[in-house]
Amino acid sequence: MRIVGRGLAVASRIDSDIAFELQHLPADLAIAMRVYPNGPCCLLQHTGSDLRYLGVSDSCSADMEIIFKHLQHAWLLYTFQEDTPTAFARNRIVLDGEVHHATVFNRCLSRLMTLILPRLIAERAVKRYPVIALRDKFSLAVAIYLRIPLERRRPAL
Amino acid sequence: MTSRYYEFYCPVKILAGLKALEHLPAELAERGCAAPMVLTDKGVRDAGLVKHVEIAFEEAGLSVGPVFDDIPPDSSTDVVEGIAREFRERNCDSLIAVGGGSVLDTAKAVNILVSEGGESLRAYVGAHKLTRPLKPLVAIATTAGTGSEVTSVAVIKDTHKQKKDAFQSSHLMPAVAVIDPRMTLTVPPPITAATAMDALTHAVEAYTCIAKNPLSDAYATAAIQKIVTALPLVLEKPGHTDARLDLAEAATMAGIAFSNSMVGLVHAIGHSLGAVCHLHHGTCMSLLLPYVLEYNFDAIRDDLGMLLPFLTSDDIARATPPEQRAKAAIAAIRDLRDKIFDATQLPRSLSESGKVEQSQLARIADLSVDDGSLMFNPVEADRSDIMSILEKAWSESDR
Repeated sequence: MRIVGRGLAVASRIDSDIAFELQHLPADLAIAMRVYPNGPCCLLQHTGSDLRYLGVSDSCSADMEIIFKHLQHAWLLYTFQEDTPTAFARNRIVLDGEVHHATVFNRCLSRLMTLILPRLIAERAVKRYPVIALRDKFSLAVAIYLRIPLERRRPAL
Repeated sequence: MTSRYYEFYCPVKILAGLKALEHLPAELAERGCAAPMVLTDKGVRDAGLVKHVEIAFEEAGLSVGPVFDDIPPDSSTDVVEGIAREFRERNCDSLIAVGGGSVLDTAKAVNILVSEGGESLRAYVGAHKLTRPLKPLVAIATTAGTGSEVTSVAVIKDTHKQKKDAFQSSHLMPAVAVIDPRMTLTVPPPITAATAMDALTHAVEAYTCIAKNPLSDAYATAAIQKIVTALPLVLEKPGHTDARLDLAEAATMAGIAFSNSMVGLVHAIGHSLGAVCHLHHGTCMSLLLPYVLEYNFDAIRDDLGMLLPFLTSDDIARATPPEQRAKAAIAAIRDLRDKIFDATQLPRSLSESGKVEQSQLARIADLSVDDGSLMFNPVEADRSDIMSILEKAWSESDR
């Protein structure tokens, strides 16, 4: 969960596709991915231009929450065994918030998976693996992986 | 170990058939309600349909409460908030919605405010915002299509932001849905056809999208079979009460199916097409369904093939080689669409609708990619994929 949260924050600053998607979200929107009932909970905030990583804690509340009904469901998603739409379709996730915000966020998540995972694994984590030049994927993946450890928890706006 | 899992929920009590409306006073009494507010629109009232409800109450020695009949086709937060104020002033304790999708959605939204409290709907936009059961709502559908009488969703236009907000919660489901053939008898054939195609699309998408489950499949296939049998009969004889009842039941079954398995790309594009071009929702569904099925074809081939006996007959399905059944299913939907055109002139392409400009397609595609229904489509679709579908639906080359 930490890797995905930090990865999204990093990718939002260096990948033009994710930056484009974020234009469709309102500034200051707080986004949480959490496990019911007592966490963990990963919190992000849209600054208007990118995503700010607010950290992982035991509890949180946000404008839009993606809530896993059980820890194992989060495990399936974050170990890339199941994509987000399938998790929604199988009622493993509850959305608390506006649906179109969740569709935008899902596209950001899919893009991140596409960038940071080898194709064979990414194909299980996204509905359709997009056309992407190996050179572009490699350079973006390296940039994201190098910056993830440096991405620090920041205060909310 | 299997990772399969699904949930299925429909707590709505359904009253269907002859004199179903006459059972309403008893249903309200059972729920401790004595002062219902009736919500409807001018068209429904002028057609005399509210009179059936009033007579049902009079026969029980009761009278219906205040009747609000000014709900517009595209209801808004202002309308909802105004009705909620009147509901409180008149000390009402329940709601009876008599109408199509807009009236039913308005009633659900009013129920949020009068049950949860507050003056503004804004706080309840989105999914899972409601925390407790709402006041009893009786849904009496006057069109056979939306399935809104059994769904957990309401869509209302935000007057100030000029956009449509979706509300979703299991608490939004009506307590009672009434399917009485008298309520759809006067619907003109083109609307009957468009709303039936809406119901057919609910059923087909419920059966072919990724949240399908064995229970929603059962409702979906039963709905499809009823629609393809009853719709031509109703178009031929609009006063055919049994066929009208079959269509209304099918719409409710399709509503139960998609409420539990969601819909996909046909609805994602259809919502945007309706918002941009103000084309009737059922017409949008009728226009788009074959093209989206073709787009999804490789992912849904087996499921589509399974629908062939319900779309045609057991004999036709048995005589069709298994590898051709999926294509035959799409052909059957096209045949139905063509029959409907012959009977009602319901358009078969976007250009034929006369309400869509080719220059609007890009805007429709932009809106469609943000629609929540897209999540449940079996095949990913980006803006260019949707443009391609719209361009195919624009042309008439397939006929």
